[in-house]
Amino acid sequence: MSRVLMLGWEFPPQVSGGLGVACAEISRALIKRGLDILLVLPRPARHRPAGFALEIVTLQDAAARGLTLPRLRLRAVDSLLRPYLSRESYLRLDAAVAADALPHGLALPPDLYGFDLFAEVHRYARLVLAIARTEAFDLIHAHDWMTIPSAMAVRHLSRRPLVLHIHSLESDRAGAQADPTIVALERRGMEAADHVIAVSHHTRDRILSEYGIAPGKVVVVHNAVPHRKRRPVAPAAAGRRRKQQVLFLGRLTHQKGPEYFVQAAARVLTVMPRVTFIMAGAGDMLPSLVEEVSRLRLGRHFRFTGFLRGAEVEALFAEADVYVMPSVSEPFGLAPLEAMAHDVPVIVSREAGVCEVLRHALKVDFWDVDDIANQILAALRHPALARELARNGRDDLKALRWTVVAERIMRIYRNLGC
Amino acid sequence: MPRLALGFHLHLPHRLRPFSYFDIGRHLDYRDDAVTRAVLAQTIAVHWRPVLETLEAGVADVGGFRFYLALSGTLLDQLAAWAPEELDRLRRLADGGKVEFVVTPATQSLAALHAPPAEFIEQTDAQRACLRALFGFSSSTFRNTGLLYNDALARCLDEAGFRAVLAPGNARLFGWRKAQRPFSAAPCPALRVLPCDLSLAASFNAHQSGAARSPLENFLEILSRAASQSDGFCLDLPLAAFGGHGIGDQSGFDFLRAIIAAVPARTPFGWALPSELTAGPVAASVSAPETISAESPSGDDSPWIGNDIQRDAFDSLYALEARVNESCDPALKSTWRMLQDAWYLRAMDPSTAQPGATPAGDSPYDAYVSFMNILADFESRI
Repeated sequence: MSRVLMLGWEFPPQVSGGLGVACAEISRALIKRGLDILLVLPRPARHRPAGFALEIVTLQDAAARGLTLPRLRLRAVDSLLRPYLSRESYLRLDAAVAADALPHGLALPPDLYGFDLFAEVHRYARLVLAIARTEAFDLIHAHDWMTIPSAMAVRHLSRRPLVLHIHSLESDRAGAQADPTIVALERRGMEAADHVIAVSHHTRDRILSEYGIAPGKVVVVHNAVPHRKRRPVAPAAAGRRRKQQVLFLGRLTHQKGPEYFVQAAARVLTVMPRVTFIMAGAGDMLPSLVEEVSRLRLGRHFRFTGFLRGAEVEALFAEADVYVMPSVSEPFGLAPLEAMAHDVPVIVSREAGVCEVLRHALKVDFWDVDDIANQILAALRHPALARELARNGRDDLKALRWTVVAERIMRIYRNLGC
Repeated sequence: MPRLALGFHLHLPHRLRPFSYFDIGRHLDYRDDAVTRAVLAQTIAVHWRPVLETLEAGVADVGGFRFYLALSGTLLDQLAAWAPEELDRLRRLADGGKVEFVVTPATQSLAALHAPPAEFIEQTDAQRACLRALFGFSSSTFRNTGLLYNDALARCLDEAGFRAVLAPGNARLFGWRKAQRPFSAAPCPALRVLPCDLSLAASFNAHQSGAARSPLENFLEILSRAASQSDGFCLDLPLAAFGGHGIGDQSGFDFLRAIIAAVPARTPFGWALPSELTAGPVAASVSAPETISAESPSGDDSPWIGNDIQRDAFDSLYALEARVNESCDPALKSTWRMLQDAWYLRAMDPSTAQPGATPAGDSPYDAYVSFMNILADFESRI
């Protein structure tokens, strides 16, 4: 049976976004199908004396954290890498860690973490390579660009096939400000990989057209519904008069189109002044969004929650009347599926890969703020529409299971002789 | 001699323009006539003209051939406005006495499912007046939207002076009985219920499926076998099913031409008009407390008002009835009637929703949102 070296990102309970969720769920589902997974992920070991660059999480450690999955081993690499870093956010993070460590009087060697994002990505690769030397595996499965140098190094060392899983591309994340160094790295990684998995046809098309990768080795595997325990639906809503809530949940970055949400909200509020708009998430656009909201004098209708996790996110979904994802570019987009799992009607951008698997959603063009407002109003004004979307949405979700994803991934493994 | 009434139904809804919430109060036209007109032109070229030419040739060549047409008032209005030469063609056919124009709800509405019958009666009256104005006479046979049938409809029709109604010949209505002879309606025995044979209609369409056996022989054999137990029934076909594979496709028309000649020549059946089927005695009566349609598998009204959004749109539409009537404004009434077109409700069926980045206005949810915005605008105009 195959042993997979998975270069992943996060594992519950520490999950910050769609990439972490997808990696963890894929690993889980593959284990259930009998594969052995060694999941390597970055995790900063703060306040740790110098010299402990390599934290090894053992099976016992995993068990201590309640991760009793038998065939999964986690090894965490002390690194500042985390999903969705940019050059700038890495520098801020690095500075924060240094500032954090110094008051404690710890002698932090200047070269503990990379001096910039790329240095850190390559430093991470060296550490991963050190792990790979001590481990036996048949295949490498890596997720997104920051793991590409590691994956290529391990592939070179071990001569094992590499599957590169693309959850998002630099042009998705940064739009016109795409970093050419990252784009080049993505291209090299996909050229070197034996198979590339794209999370949507939307992403695959871009991989072919913008990166010129051979079509034969790029396969689409859509994501599935985030694993969660289904709570009984709260009966509280009935009869209770409260303000209706419209939810945006995601990083406040260009990619997610939060400014279109604000503009649509302004349109909605001209006709339905008793609606609250919630923007959950953090990101580099937060200051400009807050500015825009106050310029429009809409502050009392908006709530900026900052970055939320777990139970807080659940609570938001439970309260929401409609969820909006006006992404400018979204390779997949798991959040609408979470909203649907909470019976919340969703309005999604046609640019989102998740559209390819959704039938029961309201679909909009992200730039058409009038139409977004029109759909928000419809979802709020017509309970019949919200009910119908919620009920039928469950059918959409039923078809999206991680076991199906795992099955497709295993087919790719088999094609590589594993 | 058992008789077969061959008929074709056609209705083209007025296409509506996508209507945003922010269009409410701007009093724009709801109709997108450019699209409707293009659909009409396409339908005439691909389906209508070749079917009618085939039928005209049948009338000329085969003695005793006659047929019925169920054309909505909406379609007749469109023809009058954009293709008057086709109305002339219909008038020529009508003058020959070989065609019966059965009555439908003027705008192919579901008014029959709406409790107070006044609106439904008005619509059928309007349609009868329209047919009389165009062709000099009107039928006393009724064909409801989607062949929907129930006892309440039967009562209404009986009061309105109709003598027969077409109904789906399925087991939900006829049970174990062969739906191949006229029945009487249980609540009003004077009204004849004319079954439309659905399986034969299906086999009629099967000629395009490329079955191994000659579809003509197959059709004639089924019909001959039915003859001993049959007294007369309808073969109710969608006109737009002919020529559906492009202008070049001739097989449907060839098949139709062959049937017209072969049925009287090679089976015990003769051609008849629906009104001629009502003559003789009837064997039994049928009752339909619940609404029955020709739709499979549900066999009821669920393709139109089977879910929350369709029901909501339907109720919202008819909730305006009193105010529309009080306004005494014929233009408003005509718009309201146009909005009753069952096609708009049918477009809201979520089971037709597609994955992918469907273009704006293409999803059943878009249809609902747009329609409800139109209703809100319409309400502001009353």
